Amino acid sequence: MIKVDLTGKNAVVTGATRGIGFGVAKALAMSGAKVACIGTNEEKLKESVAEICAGGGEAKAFVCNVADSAAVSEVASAILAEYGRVDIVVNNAGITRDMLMRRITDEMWDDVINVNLRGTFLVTRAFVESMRKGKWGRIINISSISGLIGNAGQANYSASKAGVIGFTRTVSKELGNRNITVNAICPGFVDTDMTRVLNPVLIQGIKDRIPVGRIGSPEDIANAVLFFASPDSSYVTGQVLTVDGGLIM
Amino acid sequence: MAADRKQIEAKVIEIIADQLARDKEQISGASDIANDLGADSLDLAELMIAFEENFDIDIDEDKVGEISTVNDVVDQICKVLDSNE
Amino acid sequence: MKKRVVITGMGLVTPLGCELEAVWKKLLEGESGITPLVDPELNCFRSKIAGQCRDFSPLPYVDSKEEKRIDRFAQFSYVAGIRAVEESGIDFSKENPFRCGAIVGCGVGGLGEIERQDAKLDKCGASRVSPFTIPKIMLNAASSHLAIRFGIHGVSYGVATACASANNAMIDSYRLIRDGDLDVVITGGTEAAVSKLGLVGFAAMRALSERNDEPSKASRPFDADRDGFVIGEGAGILVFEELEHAKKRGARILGEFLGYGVSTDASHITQPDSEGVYAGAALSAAVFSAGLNPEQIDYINAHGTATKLGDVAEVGAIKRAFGDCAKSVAISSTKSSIGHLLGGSGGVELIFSLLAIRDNVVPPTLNLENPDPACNLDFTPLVAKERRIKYIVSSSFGFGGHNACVAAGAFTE
Repeated sequence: MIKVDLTGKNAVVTGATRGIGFGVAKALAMSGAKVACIGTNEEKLKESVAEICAGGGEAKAFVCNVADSAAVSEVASAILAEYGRVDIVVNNAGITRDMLMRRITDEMWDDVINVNLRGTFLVTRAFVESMRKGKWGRIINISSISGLIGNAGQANYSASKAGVIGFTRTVSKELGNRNITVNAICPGFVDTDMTRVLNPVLIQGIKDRIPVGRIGSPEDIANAVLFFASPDSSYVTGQVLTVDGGLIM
Repeated sequence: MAADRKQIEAKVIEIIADQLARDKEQISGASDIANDLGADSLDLAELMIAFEENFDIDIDEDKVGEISTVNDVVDQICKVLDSNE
Repeated sequence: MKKRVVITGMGLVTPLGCELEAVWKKLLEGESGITPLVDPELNCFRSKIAGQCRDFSPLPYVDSKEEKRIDRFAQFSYVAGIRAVEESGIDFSKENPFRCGAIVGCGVGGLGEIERQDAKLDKCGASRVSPFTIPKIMLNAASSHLAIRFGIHGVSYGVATACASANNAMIDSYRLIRDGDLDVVITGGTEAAVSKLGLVGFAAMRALSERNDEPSKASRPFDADRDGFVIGEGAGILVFEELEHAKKRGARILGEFLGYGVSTDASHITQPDSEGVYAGAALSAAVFSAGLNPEQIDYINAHGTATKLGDVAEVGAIKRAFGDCAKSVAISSTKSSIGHLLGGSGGVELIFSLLAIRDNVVPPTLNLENPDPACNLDFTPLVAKERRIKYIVSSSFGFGGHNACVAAGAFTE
């Protein structure tokens, strides 16, 4: 884990229950930040928070579906009441509903766009005022290589992730003069529950094409998040960093 | 039976030597248990218990404060033993 | 910024002896420190075996006067602590005494002394109860005596979380150095509960092995035929030091304390949570707070006491925390050799783990002849195994639901 001192910073991580979000929440907490963990599965979320606390980190569980505007407002109020100020937001919550485009239903399209893209917008909007007041902020959006190069079977997912990149660039322009940076990370193939459901033969095929020769871990992504969250990365904004072991280039 | 003062003194010195990890030769009747032999308040309390157990007597709590030298201890023990007769 | 914490001294008192290298050799060779109880006061109960430090004497480290004032449990930590300090080469007279500490874990304190003085009270009355009763039985005496010996004026206290005491003590010590409050802490754990009450109390819980006719076979962690733990006694004390402080005085660095995980089951006072949710959280946290991933851990010194429920719960916790890596990490329980040192176990087990790193060898789990099907991980049965070891985790889970796991590694710049 790269060493970054985030003591005194308050962070929000969406989709913090498992996978990349949990890895990011752990890394932020171990770097000294207080972390509000947002997720939908209350029981699992609380277990993840317990794990962070067991390691001496400071974290708290907040149950919320990021696609639900009213719920996001409510949870944002609760988090701001708890921490007073939010400095770092990591928009990580994401879902897949994979299917060939011609078979994607309206519902499958909306579900993915609503969590991945609308959720990113809702959560960012909810905390941006606090960052403006604090004159310091770090917004880190988790996109995907799928949003950069497309992926057959993921029309909805790749559209949502490409949308996140456009959103990142625009918001970085709007907030740059407020000492708030906005960046996106495009993970490649990372070992999480989301990818574990895939066919092992397919996974081996992908692995064979990764120059560094291994599947990524949530910690690999967390390290990139730590860089963007660091006070020392203040001159980097509107950027899209691919963290994929060299899979696409 | 009048207590044999010499015997009692020897026994007292033996107990003190053991308790305070001292050589018997370093201890005489005139030795001040606290100042010369380095006993602290807990040692003194422990010593009183040891005297009581060894001579099968009870030393009056009020009299403990009057004890400072080995001779004081021997006097006190003789007095109690005599009064017990 | 957080300070790095290294280990510069280690000392132990165990049923296999008090000489570090000799104990380590015996452990690797599969020697057992479990022996029959011979004292007629002690061998009349259900469990008639223990890991006893039979040849232990606090002399010459204390004189006969001090010996009477210090209970056996604190004598163990005193001797182990002095040896650890000797190895570290620290001269405390040259240190800022307010930046030094002594934090020692112990499960029950002076149990034997409680029994002796209680018997005296019953038989001879209040006036015959020793004035040293309280200063002997209080479990914080272990840290106090070390502080007195070395003129330590910073933080000193005892930690009591039953069998997790030593790990909790070391975790506190680590945090105090990491956060810049202290430079040096003498820390670890100690226990001397092979006494009437210790034997009767644990036996009443049906926690102790009753394999009395085969003492060396009695401690059988993860084995299908295990029937409880074998009570042991001893201490493991280490010198924790801030890295730059250690470097400045040219200390030999024995390893680095990297991270920890602590949690509490909050379910039952003695039974472990069967799913190992919180124990697993502590185990997992020890790994990631060290900045490591599960696949980087080469060795787990398990809690592995050989109770029916405890071992299975621990396997669950390891699987939870390590996922797919649970099958590939080398694990062993050194309690199979020396018994369960209760509050002293974590200190001794971290020392063993650091030696495992030094020598790249996994100490064995003795008596694991017929593995419990529910304990299907690599527990290094019967014989030591060579393996490159860079990072370790050592676990302790205490009655009361206390989970405390520590992570350490070979020191590299």
